[in-house]
Amino acid sequence: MNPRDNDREFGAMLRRGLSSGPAAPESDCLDASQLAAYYERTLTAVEIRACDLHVSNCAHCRSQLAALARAEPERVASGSRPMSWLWDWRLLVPVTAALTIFIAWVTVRKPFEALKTAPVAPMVAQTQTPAAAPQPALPPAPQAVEVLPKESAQAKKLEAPASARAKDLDSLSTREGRSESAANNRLGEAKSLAKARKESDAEAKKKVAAAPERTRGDSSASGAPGAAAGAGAYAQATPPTPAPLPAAPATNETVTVQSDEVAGSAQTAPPAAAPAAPAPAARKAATTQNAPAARTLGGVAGGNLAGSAGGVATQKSAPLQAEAVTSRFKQDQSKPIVIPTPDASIFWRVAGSGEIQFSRDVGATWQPQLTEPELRLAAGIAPTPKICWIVGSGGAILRTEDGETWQRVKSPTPKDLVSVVAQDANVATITASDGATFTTKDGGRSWKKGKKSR
Amino acid sequence: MPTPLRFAPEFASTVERLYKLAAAPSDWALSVEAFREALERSAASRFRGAQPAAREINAYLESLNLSDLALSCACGAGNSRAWEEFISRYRAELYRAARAIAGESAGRELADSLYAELYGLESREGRRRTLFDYFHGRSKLGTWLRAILAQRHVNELRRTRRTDSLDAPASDDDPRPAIEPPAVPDDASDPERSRYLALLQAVLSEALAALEPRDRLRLSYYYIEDLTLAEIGRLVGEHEATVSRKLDRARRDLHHQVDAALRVKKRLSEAQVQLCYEYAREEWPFDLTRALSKKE
Repeated sequence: MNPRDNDREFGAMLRRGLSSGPAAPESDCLDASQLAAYYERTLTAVEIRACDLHVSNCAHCRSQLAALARAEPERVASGSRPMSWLWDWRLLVPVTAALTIFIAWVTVRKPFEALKTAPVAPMVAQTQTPAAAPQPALPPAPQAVEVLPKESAQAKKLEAPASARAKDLDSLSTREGRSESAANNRLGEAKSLAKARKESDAEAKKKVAAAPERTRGDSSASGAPGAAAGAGAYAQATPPTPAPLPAAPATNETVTVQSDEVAGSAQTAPPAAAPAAPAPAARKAATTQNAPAARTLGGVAGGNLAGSAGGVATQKSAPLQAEAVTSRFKQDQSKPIVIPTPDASIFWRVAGSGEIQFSRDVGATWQPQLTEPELRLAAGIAPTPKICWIVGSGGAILRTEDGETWQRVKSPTPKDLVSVVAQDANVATITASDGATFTTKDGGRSWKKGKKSR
Repeated sequence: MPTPLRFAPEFASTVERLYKLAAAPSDWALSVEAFREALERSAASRFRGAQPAAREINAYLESLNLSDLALSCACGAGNSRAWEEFISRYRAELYRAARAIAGESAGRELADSLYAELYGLESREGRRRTLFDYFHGRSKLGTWLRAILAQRHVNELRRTRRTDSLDAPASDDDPRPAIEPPAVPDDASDPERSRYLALLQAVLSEALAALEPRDRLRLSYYYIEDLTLAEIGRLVGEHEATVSRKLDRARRDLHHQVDAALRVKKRLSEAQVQLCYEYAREEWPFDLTRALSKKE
């Protein structure tokens, strides 16, 4: 027999057996006063024991007490000790455990957040620092360039040593697939330019990095420490040309990379992309074996990579970026902005006069497309060979969808724009000089304001 | 009503102090003398003819619900202001409790009859008899009123059933058949059947009789009165979790005792013990639950 069934049957037997117990004498039955006092437990201990004994054998008194219990007001019946369950020690155990876990989680989480942001910041600071440099003639092929800090103490603090950077570039140049002589020539040119520039601009403590040349289809020049993020930076070879290039982080907290210095060149090589890589991992990923791929990384994809790998860093570096670009507005409008496209031979650039130019031959020749002398165009990005976004002062946003005709896009802000990130002709994110970001998904018809970078 | 205990003159100061503690409003017109008489009745009820020491009487008097006792005294004396106070405090609760005990219609009748007795429709020796004379302040007035309702209700049930049993002794409600020996089925295949049932009944009764009063009380409240654990807890002054635990323990102990007694004292085998339970399940000798209800 199932033990539980057995217990149930035994309970039924008890029900019957208890009813047949010895009957207590009715003379000892409790009167109403005793009954009420017994119910309230206000009798003496001796009286209570006597009552227990009597009631346990007296069905009459027991029934009266049962009726009395059923007549108890609800407020008492629901709990004679209101809120006493709060002090039940059995509840304290899970509550204490939950609190401990929460505190441990908060404690452990903070250091991890600090770790996540700390190493990325230097890279971003470096990529955002613009540098003024004389505008050289356009090179046939831009190469990776270095960006230099201006007055920002923070940028100076964060920037990597120039020697280490040159070493990186040297090592990169050895990986290039071009002829050794040409590579050496261009590298030498870039280095000499960097040296001359460094000497001439000591006050600003700008650093020149020589971009390696490379052969098409071979490994691309990786961004040196501090190489441009997002859109990537291209070095224009001969003569070296400062080429502030827009960075293209994918997040709302966009980062513009201004590549002011040009070093190294490769006439026949496609532009060596300096992928957007605020984080070491991203930088490593950008060192690809394929130039178009590298450019893709340096363009839109690179922007996304930078955004995802160094999202936190880009947020923190937004003021630096805004400061750098603003300074560019103030100081040097003569330097062209070279905008690469996924097509290795196609480039746009914004000349110092505000003229937007287009090249289909890796910068050998440039055709003017639009002149906006009143605007100070600051950054651009070309997600495809035919689509290009360029932003500038006063909230100016220009866009071409066919590679030829330019349109003025409605701007969400009158402030100077310092960077733009675009995926196509419709989806783009711009960053204003005050750190505010705006995103459109409909080609600029509407903009959604993002988080404001500090 | 017990004969009032006459306090010695030394209790005068105590009575005075308790009277002030009762804080009866002046418009109740409750005199110290009337309050002293109520205290004397209460003490007489408590000590029931014994000769308590003054210290015991003092301790008892200090434990009383003095304000409720004062209200009952004033109401018993027929003071209208006191009655207004009583009605405002207890009328709604009295009817609610009566409905909870006796049901909707019978409850109202029960409460109405109690009101009449509280007011005191009868008089003896020039003094109106009222139920308030039986309130001794040992509990709250509200609890005492509910206790009276419960008593009245149970007494009425007993009276009704006794009458019914006289009218129809052979009916199913007759308690007499409940304690008669069971009728063994004619087709009983086991000649030992009645013996096993008798053995089980004897062993179970013995084990129940040996229970501690409070264990028996809990079991009775649970199995006979069908009270909830919370209600049992209020009646025995325990938390319902404690009641549950002790009920379970008592039931298991009883089961083991009955099993052991059947095997050891009655020398039954395991199979015979199981037969005892099986026969009891099929035809328990008499329904003692019904028997109990008839006794009430």
